[in-house]
Amino acid sequence: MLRITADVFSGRPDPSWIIADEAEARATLRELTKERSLLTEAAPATAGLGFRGLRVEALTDELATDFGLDAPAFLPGGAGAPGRVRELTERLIGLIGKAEAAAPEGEAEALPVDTALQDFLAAQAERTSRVTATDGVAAEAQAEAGEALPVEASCPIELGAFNPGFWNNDPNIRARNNCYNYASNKRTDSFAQPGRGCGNIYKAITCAEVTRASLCDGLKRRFNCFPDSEKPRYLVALVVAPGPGFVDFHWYRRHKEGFWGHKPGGTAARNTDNSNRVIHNPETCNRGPYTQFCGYFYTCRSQRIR
Amino acid sequence: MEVELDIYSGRENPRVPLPAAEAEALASALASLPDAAAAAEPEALGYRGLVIAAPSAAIASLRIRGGRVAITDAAGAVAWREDAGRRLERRLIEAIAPSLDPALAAYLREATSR
Repeated sequence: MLRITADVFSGRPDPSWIIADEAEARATLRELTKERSLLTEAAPATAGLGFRGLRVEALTDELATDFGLDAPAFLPGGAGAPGRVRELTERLIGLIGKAEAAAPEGEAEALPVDTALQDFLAAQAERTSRVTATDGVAAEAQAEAGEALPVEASCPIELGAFNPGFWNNDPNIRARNNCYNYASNKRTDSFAQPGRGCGNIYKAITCAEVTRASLCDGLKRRFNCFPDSEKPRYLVALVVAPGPGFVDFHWYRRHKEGFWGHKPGGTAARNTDNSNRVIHNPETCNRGPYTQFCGYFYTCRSQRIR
Repeated sequence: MEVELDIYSGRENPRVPLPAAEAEALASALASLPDAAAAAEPEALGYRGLVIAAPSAAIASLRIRGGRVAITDAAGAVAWREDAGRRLERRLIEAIAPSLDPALAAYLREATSR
């Protein structure tokens, strides 16, 4: 078993969650201990208020021995944390969904370990890796035309950093998460399919039907805005390979660096197209057999995905 | 032994059992393939080749595409062999074709004809 504690509060007890699944605990520790140089004994003295990092403790002697964790390890987080630290932090916070709550020392009851906590910690940890922006027709047209245009439609969205390592470094994560997982930025290890989350999976691979299934999962068409309570709201694009013979769908996600990323099935996440060019526009990039551009959508925090 | 058709992005890749006779023929063919230079990574979207996991105790995986065979051992080292005229690749596609959608099989034949 593994206990993870978020070093985040000042007055109240910090939240902890326990990973009881041995395989999950071992996989997590394998990733963490590959990067021992990133681990410390405690938060830096200058860490300050807010999210300072995650403390990881092995709760069995086997895990402690096998991974050299006789004492708790600390993964410092917060503002300015390097990309790999953010990836590991994201992974540990993501385990909340598979964890049970742990009562802090001296406390009778554990703090709830739920989606709300996960979202809170993710927001704290990702303060510098994700930005809120305006997705607007005028904004993009203005950039292209070089002149001011009236705003016809706009919505607030989140643009996350390009973190391919999160999806690529672990062969199991890479193999079990597809384009839909990547675009949604939700790892499910189930090779997620549009509509399966809401119980009404697509019945054909056409723009109309995959769109229907995605909207059923909770996505919205572009410029149909989500409120702030649904952060993060990623801008994604859907394309379809209509056949004959080769029939499939594919998704892209916009990143804060200005380009689009994608993950073709079980292959590596990347920001380049079939011509090996960085993707600045999913409508015009080289998409191979995915010749039909279906449209843009927003994902949301409450999106059902399976 | 199972052949994975590494082709899709959203959908799961088809995985088709290889008939025993074809599995034996594959082992025999591998032994006689000449060495080759490494091939470039396949394009991300579209047909990316045939993958066979653990075809033998010594081989972790095979990837067959575009006239090349990548043989990965248990330590992760990759050795390359030439599949002249994509003969091995086309033979495997014909072996798994009966288990595929006919339109997909036709697509693969066309894609590997060049």
